Amino acid sequence: MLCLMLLAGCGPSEHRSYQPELGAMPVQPLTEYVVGIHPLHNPQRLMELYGPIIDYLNSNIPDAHFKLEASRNYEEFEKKLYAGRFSFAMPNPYQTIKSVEHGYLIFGKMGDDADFRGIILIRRDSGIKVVKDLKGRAIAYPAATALAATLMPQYYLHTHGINVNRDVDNRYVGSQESSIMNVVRGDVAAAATWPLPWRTFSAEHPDLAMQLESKWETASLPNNGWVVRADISKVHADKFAAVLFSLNKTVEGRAILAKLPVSNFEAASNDTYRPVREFLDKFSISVRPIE
Amino acid sequence: MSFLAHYMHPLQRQWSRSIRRQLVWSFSLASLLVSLSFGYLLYAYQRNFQYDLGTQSALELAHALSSSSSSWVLSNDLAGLQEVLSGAAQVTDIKFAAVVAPDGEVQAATRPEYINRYFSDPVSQRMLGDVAQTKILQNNQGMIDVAVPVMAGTRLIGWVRVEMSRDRANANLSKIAAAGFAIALLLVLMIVLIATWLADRFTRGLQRLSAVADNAEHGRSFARDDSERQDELGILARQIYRMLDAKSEEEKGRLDSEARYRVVFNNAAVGLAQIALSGQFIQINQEFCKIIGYTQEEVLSQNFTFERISHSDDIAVDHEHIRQLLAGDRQSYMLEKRYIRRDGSLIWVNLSVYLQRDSRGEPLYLISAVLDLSERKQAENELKRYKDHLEEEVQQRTADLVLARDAAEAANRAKSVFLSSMSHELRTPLNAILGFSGLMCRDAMLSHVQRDNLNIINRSGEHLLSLINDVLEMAKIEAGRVQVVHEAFDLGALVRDVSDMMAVRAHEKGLQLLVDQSSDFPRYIMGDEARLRQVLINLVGNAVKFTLHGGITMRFGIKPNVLPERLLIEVEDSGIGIKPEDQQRIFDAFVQIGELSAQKGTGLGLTITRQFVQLMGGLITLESAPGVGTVFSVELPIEKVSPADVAKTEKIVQGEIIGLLEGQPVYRILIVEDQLENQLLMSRLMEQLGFEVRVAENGRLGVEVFSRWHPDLIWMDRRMPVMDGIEATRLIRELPGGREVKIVAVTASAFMEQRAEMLDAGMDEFVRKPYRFNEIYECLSRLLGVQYRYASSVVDEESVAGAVLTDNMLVSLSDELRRGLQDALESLEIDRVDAAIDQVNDVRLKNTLRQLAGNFDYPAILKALRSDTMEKVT
Repeated sequence: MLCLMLLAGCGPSEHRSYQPELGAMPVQPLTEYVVGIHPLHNPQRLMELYGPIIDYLNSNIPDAHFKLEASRNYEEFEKKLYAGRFSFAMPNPYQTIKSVEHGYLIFGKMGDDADFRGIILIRRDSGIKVVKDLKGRAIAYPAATALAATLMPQYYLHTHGINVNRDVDNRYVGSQESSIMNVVRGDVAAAATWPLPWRTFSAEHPDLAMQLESKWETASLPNNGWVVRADISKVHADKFAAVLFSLNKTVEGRAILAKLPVSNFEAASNDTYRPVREFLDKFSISVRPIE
Repeated sequence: MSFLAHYMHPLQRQWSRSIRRQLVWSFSLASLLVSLSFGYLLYAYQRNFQYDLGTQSALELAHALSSSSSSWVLSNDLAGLQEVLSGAAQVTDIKFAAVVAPDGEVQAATRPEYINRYFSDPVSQRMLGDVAQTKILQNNQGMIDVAVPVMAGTRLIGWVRVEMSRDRANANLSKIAAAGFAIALLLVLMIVLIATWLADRFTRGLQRLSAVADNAEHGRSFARDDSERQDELGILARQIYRMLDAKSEEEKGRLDSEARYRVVFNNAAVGLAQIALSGQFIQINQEFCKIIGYTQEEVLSQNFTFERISHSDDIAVDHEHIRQLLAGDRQSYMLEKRYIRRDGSLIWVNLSVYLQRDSRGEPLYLISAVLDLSERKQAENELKRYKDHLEEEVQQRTADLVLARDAAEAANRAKSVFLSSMSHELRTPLNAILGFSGLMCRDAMLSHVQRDNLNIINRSGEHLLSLINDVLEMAKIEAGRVQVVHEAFDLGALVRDVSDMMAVRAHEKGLQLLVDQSSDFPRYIMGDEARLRQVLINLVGNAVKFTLHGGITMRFGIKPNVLPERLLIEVEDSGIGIKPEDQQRIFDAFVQIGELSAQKGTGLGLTITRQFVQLMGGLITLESAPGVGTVFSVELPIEKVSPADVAKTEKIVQGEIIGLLEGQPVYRILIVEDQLENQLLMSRLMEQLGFEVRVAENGRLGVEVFSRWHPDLIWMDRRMPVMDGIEATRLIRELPGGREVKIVAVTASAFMEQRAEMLDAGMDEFVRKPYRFNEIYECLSRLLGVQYRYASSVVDEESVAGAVLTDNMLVSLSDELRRGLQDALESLEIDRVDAAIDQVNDVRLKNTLRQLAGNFDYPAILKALRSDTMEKVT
């Protein structure tokens, strides 16, 4: 009995010491392509909306594997995009143009160009009537380089008598939802965003959306583009484009698109984005330089 | 097993050697066991608790990391992930935490060497390979290793793995175990000390008592310690002292008794000796010396054994007895033997020897008691002489008695022969006397005086016959040759017959005979009708004989409150009564009570009555007061039967037969009989009926007549010169036509068993002498179908008491009516019986049937119907 007790006392120090074994990457059966989407939403939401498209691609192109990678903010996204991390990417129109300089080819874009415009939200109880009422107030934007949600509203303000460099306090808050929440909370007088996030927000938070109104909207530009890295296999790139553009042809595909929401993806080229380049030139000359 | 036993045995020996050791060890082991068990339980509980805490905190950490790392995983932001994990590195007990891609690649970890490498061991594969749920990969004494999935919605995007050591918990547990162990040891030590102290105290007392016992055993003085103590030891000490006191008292008593024994031993009137098993004497008394004539010194000297003074013929017997004593077959023995005295003379002694054994049963020595038998032996020799003489005398007497017995048996045989022949010799002439007087009575020409004289002859003959019958009956009873018949019969009819018969006698003496029959008195029973009839006739006859005034009452009933039921018959008279001293003897044979001159008969009536009652399994008693009257009570076992069981219906008593009916054939009758008187009597009877008759004087002549004449029926006397009836019958049966002829034995023999002998010989019937005419007529009717003309048949049937139905009366009935009547009678339906009788056309038959049916005498009608049908069939 004494021995038993002693054994029990000694027991704990006698466990077998486990060390996990680590090795090199196991052999991948399929070529993996990283697909990057610019931070239209926070990573969770992005995965929720665009994850099904990646699944659709994976099931329709069985000899390749696609993996969606979110980015925490535009800077992060751009850094990865320009570093060539993504095999395929859906940048905004500005980044689409810039990506060409970093070894990507434009092969498609989102449909519904009319939606690619900026809108400026204010609280209904803010008493702001005209654009000049924003003078001296703070305005929220998702990011400094967001074309529809930042550059186009700033150009709009500029053309409506506001010097965005002096008259207002520009706050880049990281994402569309963040921008909208800033004006809901009254931290800023107005929030710049574009119609898609606003619609989503209105559907998910109708009570909060009720407190806001879309006061002004800008002219439209071509929507977000689809680019592929130049070194990607032509076969897979073509298959990717074909499946993507035919999404609106199937019931399943339409259901996926409806969630984004967008009616289709369509083919595009460098020329498709000439208006964007022209807008950017105008913007950097008249409003502020784009880094 | 044997190995175990090899080590256990010395241990057991050590254990059982000392109570102190047992006490100390039991307490120590028990307390050690209890404290260790308790300690271990506490420890196990604490360990589980600590481990559960560890598991819980590992899971909580993993969950927290999982939810905070999902965005970083989605954006593949490894630096951000690393930052998330950096907080976890500070958690106590952490071995590592890692965020792992679904393919096993470590994306971030608290151990930088893991990053960008792939988990490949089986434990890690278990995490990756399965569904997305929380997993406990390892849970042992050393560590807890858990994995929690990182999810984006329902999509698995990676794993957080947390492995934590249990070192802190184990250190705590070690401390608890050490403390527990120390407390247990302390406790055990305390209990051992207490147990040792108590055991010492207890065993010291025991040791003192043991010393007391030892001193007492060796007769040393001892101190009376501990007797003042109040505990169990004190009680034990006091008891031991009391026991020692009692023992010393006993010892004193024993010494006294020994002294007394020595006095008795030395002065006993018998010789006493204590003898060693070797046969040498250990101790003897004066009387012993006197008997054998040696001095004590001589006897007690060496080499003086009991064999030396024993007669050589007795030594072997002595040795055998001693052997049995030693073997334990007996405890003592006694024998008469001879000693050789010192002077060489023999002396007879009675020797009693007892074997003394010690407390364990081992033999110690023999004790002998010796009694001088010289005088008794002399007396015995005298006695023996007388005894021898006596035996001779007894033998002589026995021989005489055997002769006497043989003579008596011969006499008894002679009596039987005598009775048998007397039966024949007396009954044969009586047959003639009664027969002829009967025949003469029929003569219408007789004068009144002649008829009276004839009646006297007849009655005297009848009386003589009854006396002879009584004597014969008694002889048969004594010879044990009476067999009780067990047949169904009509008890009611029997009672009626007897009362009718005895009423005549009673009226002749001016007495009244009453019959008192209870309602439950059964009519049909099983039993011996003839014997019961005899009993009743004897009792009533006696009553009539000894009653001068008043009357006689016969009572019939069932004995109350007795099961099974018993028949109770009482015959009460108002006669002279019987004195109490005579009541004992009245049933003895040939005893007559009262004045001899007043008596008639053999004195056998009551004896026979009692014998019959006893033969029937019954009991007869009497109550009587002289001058008042006597009551005889008979109890009999009863067995009721249904009327249908009584096959024998009453004989139809009709008037006197005066001839045959018209149209009867003339039968040829042969009479084989050696006695002239009986030849004549039978011849007359047959001739009166109109039969042809021939007579043969013996069996041989009878056979000759038969072969020539071919009679229809032969009356065959049994006992005849030249050839007897049995032999003759055998011969006739073998002759042509011998099968058809009817042969009726006529015998004067009193013994019923001869009937069987005669029927075996081929006879059809059996008639006893002296016969009554009706017996002869009935026999003829049965065997030949003879139908008679009766003297009374001319009288109008209405005047006849009781309706008479003969078989041929039913001839006129149609078959249909016959069947209807029979069916109605058998089913006992009164209405249908009456209706059937109404359909009968013959007025006389109708009246007879009505009368019988009115009395419910259905059996009589049925019998007639059946026998008529039988005739028709045949």
